[in-house]
Amino acid sequence: MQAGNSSAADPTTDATTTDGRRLVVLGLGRAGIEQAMAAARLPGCTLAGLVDARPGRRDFARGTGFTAPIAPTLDALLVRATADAVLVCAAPAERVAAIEGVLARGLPALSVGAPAPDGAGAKRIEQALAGGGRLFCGVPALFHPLFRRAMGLLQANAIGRPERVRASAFVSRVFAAGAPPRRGDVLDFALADLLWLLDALLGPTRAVRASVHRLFGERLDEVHAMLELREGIDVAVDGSWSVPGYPRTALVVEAEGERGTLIASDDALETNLTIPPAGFPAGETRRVLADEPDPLPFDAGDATPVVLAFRRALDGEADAALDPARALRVVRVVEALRRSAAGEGVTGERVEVEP
Amino acid sequence: MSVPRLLLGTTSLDLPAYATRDRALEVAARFREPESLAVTMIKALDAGAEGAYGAPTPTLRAALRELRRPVPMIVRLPLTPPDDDLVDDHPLDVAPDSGLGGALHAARAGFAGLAMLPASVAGDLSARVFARCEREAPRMGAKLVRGVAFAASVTDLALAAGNARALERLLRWGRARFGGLAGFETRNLGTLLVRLHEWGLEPDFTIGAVNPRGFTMRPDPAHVLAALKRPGIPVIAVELRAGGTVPLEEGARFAVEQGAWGLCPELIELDDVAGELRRLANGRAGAAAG
Repeated sequence: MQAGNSSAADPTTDATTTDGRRLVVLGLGRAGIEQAMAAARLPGCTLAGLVDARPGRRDFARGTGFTAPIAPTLDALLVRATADAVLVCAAPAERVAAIEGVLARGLPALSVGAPAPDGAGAKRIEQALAGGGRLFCGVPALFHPLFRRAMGLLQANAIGRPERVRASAFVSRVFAAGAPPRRGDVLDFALADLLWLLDALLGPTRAVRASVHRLFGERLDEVHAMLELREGIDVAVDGSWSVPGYPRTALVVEAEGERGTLIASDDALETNLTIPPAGFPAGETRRVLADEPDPLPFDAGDATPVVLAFRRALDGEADAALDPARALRVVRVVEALRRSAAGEGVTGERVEVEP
Repeated sequence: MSVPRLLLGTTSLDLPAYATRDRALEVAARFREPESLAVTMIKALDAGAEGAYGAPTPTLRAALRELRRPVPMIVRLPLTPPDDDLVDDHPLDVAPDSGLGGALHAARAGFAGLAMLPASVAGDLSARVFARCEREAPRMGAKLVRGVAFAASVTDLALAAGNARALERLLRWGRARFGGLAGFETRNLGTLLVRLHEWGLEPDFTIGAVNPRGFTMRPDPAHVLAALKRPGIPVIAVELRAGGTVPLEEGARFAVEQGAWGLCPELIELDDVAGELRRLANGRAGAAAG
C-alpha cells in the first residue's frame, strides 16, 4: 500500500516516476525527517536516499514509510542510489565534516542553518569550497513572505538610507517542559536567524559589542548587542529565549530612514513611505501573511521553502538567499558576540568580525 | 456517532497559530486562569458548539479539571509542543514499546492496543504514535472523549512517506481506543484528501484550512476546493479567518458553501465566543432548514 516518493506534475498525486532532482538526506533527526518529507513531496524533487550512522535513527526513518534506500554512510548509499545533491542535516558538531564529505564527492549540498559551529569550522568550509564545491545555505526567515517583501523594499531604497535600526529575536524556551536544552544558548537558538536576516536586509556586520545575562544557569539567556554594519549603519539588537508567550521565535526588524519607516516581523510588515517604489502605496500600510503570495505546494515544516529554493537553484534559478558566504559571515558574527560578551551584564569590548 | 458540525478550537492557546503576536498574547492572557477557559467551553456548548478540539496541554488539562459538566472533546494527539525543537531527534522518534513495555501498553489499551503489537515489532510509525498517545491520553483528564484527531505532524509525515498502512492502523486503533471518531489533522488538506481517496481510507473526518483567501490551503486553493467537493470524507474547516484577514462569518460561510462538513473556529479567532458561535450555529441550522 505504500507509494513511492517522487515528484509529480499534479501536486496532489504521487506518481511513481523518478524524475526531478534526486536528493539525499544526510542526518535523520528532526530536521532530516522534515527535509525528507519536503524532498519526497515538492515538485521537481525525488527522495533518493537517507543516511545516518545511528541505527536507531535509520530504524525510525524506515518505520515512517519512506521507501528510498537507507544507509549508515553516504558512500554506502551511493553504491545503491544515484544522487544529484545532498541535504545536510547533521547535528552542528558533525556538520562541517558532513559538508566536506559531500563536496569531496562532487555533489552540491544544502545546509539549512549554520554550516559550521564556529570560525574554525567556517574556515574549513571555505577551504572545501575553494576546491570547487557547491554549497547552498539558508534559513526559513530568508524565505518568509513578509521578510522577502521587506528585502525588496529596502533593495528598492524605499526608506532611503536606514539611519536607525533596531531588531529583536524573542522565544519562550527556557521555561519549557523540555528545558533545559541539551545544547546551545540564545545566540544559537534564536539570534543567529536574526543575524542572517539583518545581513540579507542591510549587509554584512563589521564589528559588535555585546552584553549578556545568564538568568537560569550557565548558558546565555539574553543578549543585548550593537552591530556596526560595513555600510556604516548601527543596529541595536535584543535576543532572549526566556520571554513568555512566544511559542515560535519572533523576529522583528525596525528601520527608519529619511524617506520612511519599515517594521518587518514574521506576522506583519508595516511601512510608512513618502516616496514608495513602483507598485507599493505611499503613507502607512500594514500587510500580514495572508496578503502575500505563498505558493508552497506542500508544507513539511519551516525548512520547506529553503529546500524548494535549493531545488530551483540546482535547476539554474539562482537565489541570493542561499549564499554560503552569508552563512559563514553569520557564524563569525556569533563568534564575535561571544568574545565581546565576556562579562555578565557588562557591555563588552568592541570586537571586529573576522572578514 | 456523528461528526460534529461545530467545535470550539483551543489549540491556539499553546501551539503556534497564524495571528499577530499582540493577538496571541492577548488571548493567552485572557485564558491564563483555567476557570476562564472552563467557563468559555461551557458557554460554547450552550451557544451550539458540539464540543471542543484540543491537545493535552497544561492549559487545557487545568481547565478540564475545573469542569463538573463534561465537555465532549475531540482530542488532538500526540501533543508535539513547540519546544520539541530543543532536541535534534525527531519528536516521534521514541521507542515503539516492543517487548514487555509494548505488551503492557497494549494491554492497557485493550484489544485495540494488542492489534498494534505487530506494528510495534516492525517499528512502524503507527506504533510510535500509538505509544506516545497512550502516554499522553490518560493525562488529558477529559470526562467525555468523542474522538481523536492525529496531529498534522503525524498525518503529514505519513502522507509524505506514502505510509497508508500507518494511517489505516491509527484509524483502527483510535476508533477502538476512544470508542468514537478518528480523523486526521493536516497542513496539506488537498493532497491528503486525494491520497486518502486513492488509498481507500475513510477517516471519520479530516481537519484542515479552508478560507476565502486561500490562506495555507495546500497544494493550492483550487485543489483543496476540488477535493472538498468529493463525497466520503468530512472536512472540519479551520483557519476560517485566514490569519485574521476576513470576518469569521464570511470565512465560515465560504467553508460551508465549498463543502466543509464542520467548522472549528479557534479561540484566537473569536472575540465574543458565545455570541459568534451562536451565530455560526444558527447560520448552519438556517442553511439546513432552507
